Parts: sequence; structure tokens; C-alpha cells
Amino acid sequence: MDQTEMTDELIMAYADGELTADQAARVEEALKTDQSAQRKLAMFRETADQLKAATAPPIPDDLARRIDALIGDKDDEPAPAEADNVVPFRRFGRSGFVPTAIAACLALAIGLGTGYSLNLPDQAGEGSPFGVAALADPGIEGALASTPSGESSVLSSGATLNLIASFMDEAGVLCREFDYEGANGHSVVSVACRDGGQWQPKIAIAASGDAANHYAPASSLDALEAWLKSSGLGDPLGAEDELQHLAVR
Amino acid sequence: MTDPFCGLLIEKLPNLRRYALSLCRSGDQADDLVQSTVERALKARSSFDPASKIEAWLFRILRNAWIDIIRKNKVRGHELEYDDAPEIADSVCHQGDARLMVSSVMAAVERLPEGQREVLLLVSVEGLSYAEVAEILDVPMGTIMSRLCRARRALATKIGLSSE
Repeated sequence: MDQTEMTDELIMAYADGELTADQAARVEEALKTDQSAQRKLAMFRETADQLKAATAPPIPDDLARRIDALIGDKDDEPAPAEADNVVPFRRFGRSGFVPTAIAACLALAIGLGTGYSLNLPDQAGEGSPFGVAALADPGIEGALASTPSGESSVLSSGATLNLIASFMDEAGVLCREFDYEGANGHSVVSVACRDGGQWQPKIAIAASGDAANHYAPASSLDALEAWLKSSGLGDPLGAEDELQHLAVR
Repeated sequence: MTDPFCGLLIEKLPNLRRYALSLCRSGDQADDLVQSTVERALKARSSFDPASKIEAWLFRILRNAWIDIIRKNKVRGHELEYDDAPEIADSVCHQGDARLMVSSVMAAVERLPEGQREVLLLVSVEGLSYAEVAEILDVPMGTIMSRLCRARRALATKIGLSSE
């Protein structure tokens, strides 16, 4: 190999271990007599060494929570420790971030207001959009009234109700945020408030209907976030407060 | 029991974020990009070959997500093509939070033009092969080598190493 073949790219590829044994042997031979190439090799090795030593910055807490929410359903690792006085609930993008990805999985967001009861499947109707029909599951009421936040309850329909948080509204009414995963894979995130003996949904958001990935993407929950901010529900109740309110009939 | 796929994902998060930061406009945008990458990876996990290097697969997903964002912004008509204006991009994008500036060498990397910075990060920082990076970026191997070579020479000058 003569001088002209010792390009910078070739020397760099040698320094990076990208050459075949044959090519490397030829470069080594040429290096013996080529001081300019030797200096270049030293430079390529030094830059590689310095860059290899760089460590990645740590993941910010907010991003870690968002990722936890995404893969939480797929991983049985215990949730990260929360402050003692707050119920451990699953947080989805609670920082008010603006997603760059459009909420492809956001099927519908409904402010239900009044006049629709969770325990009246006939009114919901078989042909309802899945978000509403899901909330007609007769098992929801009992679970809302008794299951602490951070826990899940499997309903007789085969659906899973994950209790996310409890709140008190300004009138002292208990409200619960929950994630309903139907046996068909459809997932609905909702907030319902106790009105006398019944639970009234205030908002319901249908998340992904993909059975294989029925997590609720953070981006689809911005509507819920906005609603929670404007609802006057304030911060989630602590574990003890929640227990007391769940005990009250 | 931990899902091994999710374990790998979590393990690679700092690398994903570092790559996102090297591409992106801000720390917030990098975080959104990482989240979007994880969403896509979870949906596409069946297409991942466990025998291959997961970071190469994840970086490709992240880059595709980034290209989608650039396309969207182009349609909105107020985003510059980053390769065309590295200096402007640097002044707009790399202000504020700490991000990549963990060492003087990484600070020098930040000042490289985007195309060089990306190849340098993937090869020299993340330890991928030229061929893997060519596949992630979808460009010929010769292009990878010439960009990487220019990046290394520029970096050597910036951090006070002489190449001659």
C-alpha cells in the first residue's frame, strides 16, 4: 500500500476497528513509515477515547414518570416510592407538557355532566360508543366505593378497574379517578363522583383500543388533565383521608 | 417478574435521550421524542429481533419519529432544515438547560454541524458500527465515514488536539 491510499477515512476506520484483518495489516505496514498517518491515528484514537468516556445525562423525573405510565401495564416492578402522605397513583404526564405526537389513540373525550348513571347498562345501550358502554359495567360501583387508590379490582365482567386517585370536590363529595380496562382490551380513563348512593361519571376518555397495548398514552390524557385543573378537585387525597372517606357510606 | 423487553427499554433510556438531545430543539422536545419512541417501540416490539442490538433498533425508531416531527413542522412552514443552517440551529436549539454539556468534549460535540454531530454520537459515543449507523440514517457507508472523519478532525481542533 502506498502513501496515497492512506486516506483519513482509512486511518479512522483502522482506529475504530472497522477494517478486516487484511486491510488492517496493510494499514499497519504503511503506518510504520508514515509519520503523518501516525499522528492522525493518535488523533482518531484520542477523540474516540474521550467520546467513549462521556456519560449520558440522567433521565429527568418527569420523563421517568411518563415512561413508567407507558410501560407500567407491562411490567410488574413495584411503582417508585411516593411521599408517605399521598396515595400511590399512576401518573400520566401530569406536568402539563405539550405532546409533539398527536394523540392518535384519543378516541373521544366526553364531559358527561349529569343524567347518566354508571349502574344503568340499559341506558347506556349495547350499541353505544365503547367508551360509554364500558362505563356501564355493573361491577364498577362496588369497586369505586371500596378499592383504595393504587390497587386494582377485577370485575365479574372480566374487566380490570385500576384506581388512580381520590379527590374531594368543593362541596365535600368524593370523586375517584380510575382506569377501566375492558376484557376486550378497550381502556377508558374516567373521573366519577359519589352522588348519594350512585357514582356519576364527570369525564371519560377512551384511550387505546389496541388489545396488545391498552395503556393510555400520556398525550391522550391532556384533556383529562385540563379538566382536573378546572374542576376544583385540587390535589389527590392522602391514603388515610381516602380510607376514611371510603368508609363513609 | 420484569418483562425483559421493557427492562432493555428502560436501560437504554439515557442513550435515547442523549440522541434525542443531539437532534432536537430543546430538552422538552427531546423528552417528548423519547416518549414517542417508547410508545412506538412498545407497539412494534414484535418486529424487534432479540438477537440484534436493541439500541440500533431504538435509534432508528427515534430518528423516524424525529423526521415525522420535522415534516410536520415543515408543513407548518416555520422550521429550518437543520442541515442547511447549523449555526442558526445551534443558536436557537442549544440554549438553556444543561443537556449534553456534561463535559468539555461533549460541549465541543454540540458545536458541530448536525449531520456530523449525529454520526459522531452514534459511532463514537454510543459505540455502534459504521454499518449500523448507515442503516439507522439510511445513507451510504461512505457518507458515514466522511461525516465522521470531518467531525473527528473538527472535534480535535476544538479540544486542542492536533491532527497534523
